Amino acid sequence: MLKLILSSCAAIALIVALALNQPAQQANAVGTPNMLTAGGAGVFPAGATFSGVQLAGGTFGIGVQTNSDGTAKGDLELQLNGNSPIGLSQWITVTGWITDGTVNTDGTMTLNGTCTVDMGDGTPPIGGLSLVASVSLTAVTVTVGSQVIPTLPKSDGWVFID
Amino acid sequence: MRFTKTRAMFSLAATLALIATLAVPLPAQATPGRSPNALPTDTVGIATGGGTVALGSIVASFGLNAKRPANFTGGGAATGRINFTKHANVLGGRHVNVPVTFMSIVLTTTPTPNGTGGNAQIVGDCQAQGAECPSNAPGPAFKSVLVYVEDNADSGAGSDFFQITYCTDPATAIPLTCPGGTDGGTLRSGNIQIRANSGGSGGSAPMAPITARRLP
Repeated sequence: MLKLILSSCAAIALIVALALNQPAQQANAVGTPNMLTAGGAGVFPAGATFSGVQLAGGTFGIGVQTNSDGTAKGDLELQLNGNSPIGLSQWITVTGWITDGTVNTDGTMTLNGTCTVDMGDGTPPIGGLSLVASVSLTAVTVTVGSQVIPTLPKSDGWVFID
Repeated sequence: MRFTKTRAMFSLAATLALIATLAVPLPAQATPGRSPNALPTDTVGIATGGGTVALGSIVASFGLNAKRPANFTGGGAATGRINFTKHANVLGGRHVNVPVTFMSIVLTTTPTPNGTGGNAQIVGDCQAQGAECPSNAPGPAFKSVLVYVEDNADSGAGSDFFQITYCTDPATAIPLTCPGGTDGGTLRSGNIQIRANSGGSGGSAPMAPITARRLP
């Protein structure tokens, strides 16, 4: 009888201990409404290029609200600065409208939508391109159309997933 | 003669009192360049945005989200986040990272082709755990920021508006005492979207022509 009581107490204590040991803020689960808010900057690693432009650094501003069905609404803006093949300073601007978004199990967020790319060289901006973005707390990776922009590591500012 | 003198003295005293009343300094008001003082606090809507604004010779990036909480019944409560980063070393700090606590919002009656438009005042709490706001030393610390945004066009840049004001009032309502000045203006790049709700997808990317630019 005593053994039964002791084992019951031990089991209850284990359950209580496990319950108390849960993190205060659980990781966001896939399919729950979330918000991604970010404003910051980063420096590209040496050798990063996009459409022939040698990339030096970039800035980003993001505000996206996702729904439990995977749809989303919001905005992604990414600006890349670098040097053109003839050595001129060039700023490339990606303006994205987000239509879908999901928080992944690793805590990163994947966004889908369409975008406009302004190469910043005087040529007309190109609209209607597909956009896929992977955003973590430390980096932003964007694909426009079939072109992957090198990952921009965050060195300043904030990326916040609520 | 005595009566006249007495009346004159009384008039002079009254005039001085009136002047003194008018001269008493009014509390500093949050008067962002385009912000109306009172937007509706009971309207249900959401605001999202990301982009850059020019601050004189420097550039700042922002990201923002604001929406009504579940079971909202009125009174201005809101959730979300405001991020703002000045891309320069500036006195007092260059970051804002605050949760949203309060919002007043107007939805336009003439939405853009993608169904958005309006303006909003969004309040962020500098006193929340983990929040970051510029220092106001040696003055009192900032307790809140007031962001005013306008969604005027689908194309965003050159049309939409973002402005942030630094305040010493708590983030429980639209702050009125804002000695920290304002940053922001018409969007240099990016977009602001104001709409009724967050359900469904966000529509198509704007296809309206954007003037080719060389930045900065």
